[in-house]
Amino acid sequence: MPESRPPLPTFFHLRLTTRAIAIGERVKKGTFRPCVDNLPSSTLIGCLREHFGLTQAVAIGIFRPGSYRKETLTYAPFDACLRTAKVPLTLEYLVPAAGEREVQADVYVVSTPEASRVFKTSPGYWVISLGGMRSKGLGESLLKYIEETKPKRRTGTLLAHMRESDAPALGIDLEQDLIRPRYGYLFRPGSCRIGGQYERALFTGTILTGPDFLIGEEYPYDR
Amino acid sequence: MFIAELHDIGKLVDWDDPGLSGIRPGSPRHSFQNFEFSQLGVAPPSSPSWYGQWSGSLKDLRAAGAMPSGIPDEVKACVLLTNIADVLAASISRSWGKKGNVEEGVHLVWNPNFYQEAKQAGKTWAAVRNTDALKEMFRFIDTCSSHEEFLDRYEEHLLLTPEDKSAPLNVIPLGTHLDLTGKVFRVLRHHSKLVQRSGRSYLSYDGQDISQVQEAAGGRWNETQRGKWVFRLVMCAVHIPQSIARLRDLNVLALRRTKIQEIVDRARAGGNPERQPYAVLFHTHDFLCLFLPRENHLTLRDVLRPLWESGFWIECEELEAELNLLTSTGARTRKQLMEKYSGDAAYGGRFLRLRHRAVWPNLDSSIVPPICDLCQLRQGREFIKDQVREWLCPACQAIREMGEPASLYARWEEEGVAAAWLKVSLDQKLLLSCLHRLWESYVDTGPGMNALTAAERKALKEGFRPLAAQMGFVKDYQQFIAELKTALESLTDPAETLLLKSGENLLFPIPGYLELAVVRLDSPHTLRQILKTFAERLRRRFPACLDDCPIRLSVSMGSPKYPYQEHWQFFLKPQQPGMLLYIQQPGVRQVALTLTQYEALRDRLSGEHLSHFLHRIAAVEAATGETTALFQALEQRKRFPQIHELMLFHRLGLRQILDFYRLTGPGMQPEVVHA
Repeated sequence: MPESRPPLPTFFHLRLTTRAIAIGERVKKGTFRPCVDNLPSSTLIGCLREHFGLTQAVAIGIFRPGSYRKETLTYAPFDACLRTAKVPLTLEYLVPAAGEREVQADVYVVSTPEASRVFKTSPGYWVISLGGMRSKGLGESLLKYIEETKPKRRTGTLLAHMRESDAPALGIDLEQDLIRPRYGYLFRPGSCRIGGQYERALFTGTILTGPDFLIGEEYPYDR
Repeated sequence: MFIAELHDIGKLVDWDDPGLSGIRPGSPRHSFQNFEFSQLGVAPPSSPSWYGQWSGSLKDLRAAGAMPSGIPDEVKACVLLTNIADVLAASISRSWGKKGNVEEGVHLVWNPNFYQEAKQAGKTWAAVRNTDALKEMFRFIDTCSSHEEFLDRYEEHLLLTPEDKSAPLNVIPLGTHLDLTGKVFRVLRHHSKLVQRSGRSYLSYDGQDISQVQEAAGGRWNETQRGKWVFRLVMCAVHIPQSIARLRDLNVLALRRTKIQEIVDRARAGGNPERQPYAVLFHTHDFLCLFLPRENHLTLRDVLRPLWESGFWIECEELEAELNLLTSTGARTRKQLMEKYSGDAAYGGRFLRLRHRAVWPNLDSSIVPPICDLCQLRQGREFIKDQVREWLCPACQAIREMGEPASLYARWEEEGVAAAWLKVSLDQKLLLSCLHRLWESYVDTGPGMNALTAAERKALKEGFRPLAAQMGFVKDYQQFIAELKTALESLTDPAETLLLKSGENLLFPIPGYLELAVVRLDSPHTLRQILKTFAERLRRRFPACLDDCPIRLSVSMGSPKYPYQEHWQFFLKPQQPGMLLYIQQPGVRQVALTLTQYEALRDRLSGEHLSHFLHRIAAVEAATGETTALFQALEQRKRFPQIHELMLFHRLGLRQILDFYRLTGPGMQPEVVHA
C-alpha cells in the first residue's frame, strides 16, 4: 500500500454485550429466518439515530468469535386482523456460547464531533436495543465505551455488511480498495423515517483493503 | 486445416504387436517423422496436420533442417504452436527428464484398476496392431476434417493409452492430454500472427515476437527463463442469487446450464475451426475453467456475458502468467516462486499474477422498494398467484415462465408421502488437494518408484501440474452421475420389483441436470438402497480417493410441502474434507458421514433385537439427553457391542448413530415434517 494515502479516520471502539440477539438476514420465502453474525452499518446507524439522535454517525460491528452460538426459536406469528396464527417460523438468533455469560460484539463508530458529544461523556455505557423480535426481549444490549482507536489498513475478507455509501466515512476508497465484491442491498430509511430505499452494499466475504478491525482472513494474492 | 490433436496419433500404435513385425518404427517410436513409408508401399500423408509429427523436434521457427523443406511458414507456425500447447498441457512429463518402467495402459490415480478392468472386458489401449490399420491411420491423417472426428474415432483407445507410457508419468489418458493441447493450440493460433522482421519469421502476440518454444512459454517455476507470452487460466464458480421459493424457480438451474453451454459454444463459433478466441477447458453445471489471452485482447466480462446478463454472478480465481507457469493450482506455483525468490516481489523477472475477481450483473446503486423477493438485486413488481402476493423482478419472473419442472412432485403433497431431494456435487478445491495427494502417493508407492532418490521424488511431487488430471476427473465425474441415474432406475426391492421409475417416483426436475433428483419415499427401503448404490458406484469409479473424495451426496427429506429453499441451502453448505454423505430432515436432524462410517453404520445397525434397543435409546436420548442415553448404550455393550464399536473404531458419536438410524433405519420412515 502506498505510504502517500491519507490515514484512516479515528474510531470510537465500543463493546456491545447482550444475552440474545437476532440481526436477521433478509431471506424471504422460507420458514427459516437466519441471522447474520455481524452488525451491518445500516443496523447500527439506524440504532445510533434512534437512541442518541446521531444523524451523521457511521458505525459497524462484529460479534466476537467464540462468544456466541446460534439457537433457533420456532413461533407462530399472530394475524390480529384475522385472529389466526400464521405459518410457524423458525428464527435463528445468537446466545452466549457454552461457558460465556454474554454475546459480545465490537462496535466501531467513526469519530466526529457529533459522536464525541455522546461517547466521550459519562456514563460511558448505555442500554440500547437492536435487531429483530425486540418485543420479545431479544436485542436488549449494553453498549460500553472502550477507547478511541486509530486502525491500520489491511487487505482481506470483510467481516461485516456495509452499504457502499458508508465506505468513504470508514476510510475505504472503493475505486482503489475493492478487490472482489459480494454485493447485496441494505435498507436506508428516508428522512423522518418515512419510506426509504435499498442501497447497494458489500456483504461479508467481499475482499478489500480497509480498517484492520473489519478484515478477517488475509488476502495474500495480487490485485 | 491443421489439427493439433493428431500430432500424437503415433502413440496409438503397438509396435510390439506381432501384426507389425517386420515394420521398423520411426524415431522416436511415437512419431512418424523418420518413418520409412516404403515398408508399407504407401506415400506419406500430405495434409497440414501431418506436419504435427515434427512438433517434438521443431523448437525454433527458423531452425534449418528441423522439418522437411518447402513447408509453408504458416504450417511451421502451427507446428511450433502445437509444441507450445503441448508444454502447457503436460502434467509432469516435461519437467522430469527421466523415464521409468514402461507400463501397459493408463494409470488413473483415482482408479488404479481402470485399465486392467477394461482389458478384462476385451478392450485394449492400441488402436493400430497391424499394417492395414497403420495404412488406414495414415489415410485418416489426410482425410480427417476436425479434431472432434479424431477424438470420436479413437475414443476408446485414447482413454486407455497414457500420454506417456513410463511410470509414474502414465497418469493422464492421451485423449485428455490431446483435448487440452488442441484447445490451447486454437487459442494461441487465434491470438498470434506470423510476421516478418528484417527478413526473418516470428510469431507475434501482445507485442511480443518469438521464434522458439522456450522464448514463448518460459521455463518451469524452478527454471529461470522468462516466457514472453502471458495468458490466463481462470477458474469460475457460477452462483445463483435467487432463493428457490416455488418449484418453477428451479428453472434457474436450467438457465445456468444453458448459459454455460452458450459460453462453451461461443468459444468455437468463429467460423475458422483452427482458431478460437478463448477455450473452456472443462466445465460442470456450476463451474468453468477458461483459457484466455490477456485482458487487453479479450475481457473476462465479455466471455462471461451470457451468465451475468442472465443475473448470475461469478467468482473467479484468475492466474495470469507465462505459459509454462499456468496451472490450476496457481496459489501453489506462486508460493513456490515466492520461496525461490524470497524477498524479490518481481520473482527474478518471471511473470505470475494471481487474483480473485468477481463478475456481477449491472446493479443499480439504489433500489426504490419493493425489492425482488427472490434475487434481492433488482426492483420487484407485484404478482399475485393463488392469493399469494409476491414481488418479482423481470429476470426472476422470466425464470418462472420457463415452465413447470417436476409437476408430478406437487401431487405427492396430496398423497401425504415424504420425499427426498438428492444432490450430487463436486468440490473443485477439494479435487485439487485430492489429486495432489493421489499423485504424491503414486510417486511414493508406484511401480519402480522405490529406486528413486529422495530428491527425485521431491522434484516429481513439486513439478506436478494437475490441470489435465482435473479435466480427466471431471469427465469421470460426469460419467459417474450418468451411471448413478441408470443404477437408481434399476433398483429393486427384496421382491425384485423396481423401486424407482423415472417420471413416476424418481424425478429429475431439470432435464439433463442429473446432479439433482427428487424421490418419493414410498418405503424405508428406498433411501437405504439409494445410499448403498451411491456408495457402491463411488467405490467402483473412485476407489483410491474415498477418504478425501471431492464428490458428495446430500439428501434432504421432508413433506413435499416443505420449503424448497431449505433443501437448497443444505446443498450449498461447504463440504468438509472426507465427508461424502450429508443427510437431513430440515429443522429436525442432520448427519454428515465419511464413506467408511456410512458403511459401518449400514452393516452394523441391523437385526431385530438391536432395532428394539436403538428405538429405546433414541427415546431416552429424546427425553433425557445424550449423556443418559450414552450410559445406557455403554451399559449394554456386551449384548449390543455394535454401538460401542461404532463409537470406538469409527469415531461416531451416539447422536450421529441415532440420527442415522432415525433417518434411514428399518421402520424409521422419515417423519413427514410440514412447514
